[in-house]
Amino acid sequence: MRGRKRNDNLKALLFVGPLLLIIIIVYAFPLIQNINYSLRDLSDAARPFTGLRNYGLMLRDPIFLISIRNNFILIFTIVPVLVFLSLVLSGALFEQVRGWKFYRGTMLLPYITSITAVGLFYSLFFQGRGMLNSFLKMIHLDALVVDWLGSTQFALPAIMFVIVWREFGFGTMLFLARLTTVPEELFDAAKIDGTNWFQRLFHIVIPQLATVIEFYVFLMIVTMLSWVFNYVYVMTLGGPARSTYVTELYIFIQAFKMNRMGVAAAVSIVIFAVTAVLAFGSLRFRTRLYKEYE
Amino acid sequence: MKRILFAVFVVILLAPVALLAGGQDESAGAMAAKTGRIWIWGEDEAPGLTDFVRSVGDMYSERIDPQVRWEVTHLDIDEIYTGFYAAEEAKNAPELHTLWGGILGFEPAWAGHLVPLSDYVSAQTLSHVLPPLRHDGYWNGKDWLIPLYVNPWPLMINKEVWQSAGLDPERLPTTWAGLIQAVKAMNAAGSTPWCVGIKDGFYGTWFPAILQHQLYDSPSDYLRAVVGIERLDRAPHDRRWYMVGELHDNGAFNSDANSLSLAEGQDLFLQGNVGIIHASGNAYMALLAKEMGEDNVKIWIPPVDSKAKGAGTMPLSSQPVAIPATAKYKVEAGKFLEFFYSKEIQNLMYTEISVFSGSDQLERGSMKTDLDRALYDLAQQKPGMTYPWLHPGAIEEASYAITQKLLAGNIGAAEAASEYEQAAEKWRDENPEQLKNVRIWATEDMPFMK
Repeated sequence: MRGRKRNDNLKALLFVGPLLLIIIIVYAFPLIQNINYSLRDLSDAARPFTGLRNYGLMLRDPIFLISIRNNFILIFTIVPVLVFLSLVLSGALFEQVRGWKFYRGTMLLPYITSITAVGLFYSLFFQGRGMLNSFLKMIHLDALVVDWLGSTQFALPAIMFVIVWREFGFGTMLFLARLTTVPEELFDAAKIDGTNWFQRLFHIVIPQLATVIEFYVFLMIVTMLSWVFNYVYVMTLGGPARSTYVTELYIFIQAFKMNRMGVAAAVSIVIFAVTAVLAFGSLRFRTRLYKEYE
Repeated sequence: MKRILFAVFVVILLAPVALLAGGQDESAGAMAAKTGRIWIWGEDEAPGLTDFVRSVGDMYSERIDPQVRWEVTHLDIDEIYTGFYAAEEAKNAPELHTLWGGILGFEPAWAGHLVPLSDYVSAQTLSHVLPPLRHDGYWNGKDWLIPLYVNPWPLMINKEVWQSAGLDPERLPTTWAGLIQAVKAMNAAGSTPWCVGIKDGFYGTWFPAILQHQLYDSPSDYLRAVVGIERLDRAPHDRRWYMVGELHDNGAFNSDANSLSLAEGQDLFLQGNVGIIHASGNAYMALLAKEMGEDNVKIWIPPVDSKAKGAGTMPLSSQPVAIPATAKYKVEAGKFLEFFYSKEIQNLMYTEISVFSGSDQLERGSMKTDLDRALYDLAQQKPGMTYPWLHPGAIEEASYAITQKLLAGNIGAAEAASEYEQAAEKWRDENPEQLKNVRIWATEDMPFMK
């Protein structure tokens, strides 16, 4: 009996083994190496162990604090806007508003366009001599003309606009896909009961989409935390005056412009830890939701 | 039919093997000689550089040592340091590798990744390097970096724009007040006096550099403030912020300077209605002269009312090369540099690709245009220091952000100077080892600077 169990375990290991090996090579090794780097002074050829010094340098650096603050601004402003937009738009598409087929076809276009191309376009759009200001001048709103990307007040909101513009299509399609699996009787019954569009949104659509919304929120939080480098790099390079720095850019500048690989490694470990905690929390939350449904 | 298909299949199968075998023969032939590698960057500033260095490599093999052949690779700008450290990590660095000058170039040396050039290149050859450029590669009594080519950094003016503002471009201002008056006049005439793009940062240090460097007798004057012997928020070190602030307050710069990159800012000059550009590199200036009309442009060192030795000098930046610690053929690398720094090759570089060398052996007779003659005279007679290379990356990066804040109107000159000193203090606190090394540089005797 025991021999058979051992045999089964061996078989399982054989099946899982190759994938496990890939995971170790692709994820675990760089992670361990990065933790190792974050505890050393890499500017010295001997790479002496320095304990938590790089983490201390990171926490004492006001630029890091600006970067993390900006990531949180993105999370707490963009994620709710994206969820709201995606809900409203997917609801509207589901109800087959006039021209819904066209909207459904085009809504995903921003999302499939490269971030670099989008960033370059909007750099030109928001520049002092860009399209937006030309338009504002044309309609005699000269008072609103601003160097959008050159102003410490407006550069981050301009980037936020671009992120929302590019990302909302994905959420809309995700929600719409889930909505199409909701029994139509629910909506028909609600309509017979005389509910309006908003009532159906809050009482049918949102509860039915709960698990997908949770997944989307998690995905967008991770995106705002560790996938916005391209927007910032192309549009502002973190400026003006570091007002649009995010942690990824901070890692890049520390590593490749200031030759502080140890600090860069420390920040990337922190970002990884935060993302891992979020992923774990999200998984538990989702499991609980599924159990409630069952 | 099956046989034919089988034959084709076998040929396809064996073709790579045959090709590989051929390749092995070729490399086996090449194994007889030493292959030195040179990794450079500079095509953006010095078009044709890679092919030129390659041709010098061939000449070296013909004339100096037939047993050595040189492979030249042009790097992407972002690969300069990543490529260098990766090669050092693999203990397989090229014989010569490009780096930035000054502290950014010394950092690998302090970490043990470079060998002193002066151990492989003769004192006679090194004595031909223009003094401020040699300073940027000289530390603790040894030379670590040597310029591959040189970029002059003067201002260039558009005479038509000056004339439209009622100014005489043949009699340019000789005082700071005169410069401010000229800025006001161009502004009043509806022109942009000075085009700037600092979104990508470095221009935020470059264009003030042409003002600030004139306040110093030698690079050590500024370095003493960098290492904390003096303060960066006290005169004369804080003047840079007041000068830029005054220019900004008088409408000197295009209002979108913060959202334009260096190249986009410079392009404004080509569009016509701009009076001044801080041009970089004689290749770029030749392009401007061609587009705007050679008679319509003129180079200029702006007046800052200074009596220091740096007054009226033209900043020069160079793209230096170094010998990595793990390079296999260090002696050959030294010999190549000796050959590259010969009078013949230094003049040939200008003749072939119109790029200036960092050597005092470049001859005025080689100059092809009036613009280059003017640049040559300034470079040889009044070579200035490369201010941005005299501080570490942390201070340089802070300088970008502070200039952006100043031009956005968020802070004044006094706050800018104060923030600059704070950035330096932070760097000093966090990098005691680096500080110790820069202090050596700031205080050591440099005979060639006298």
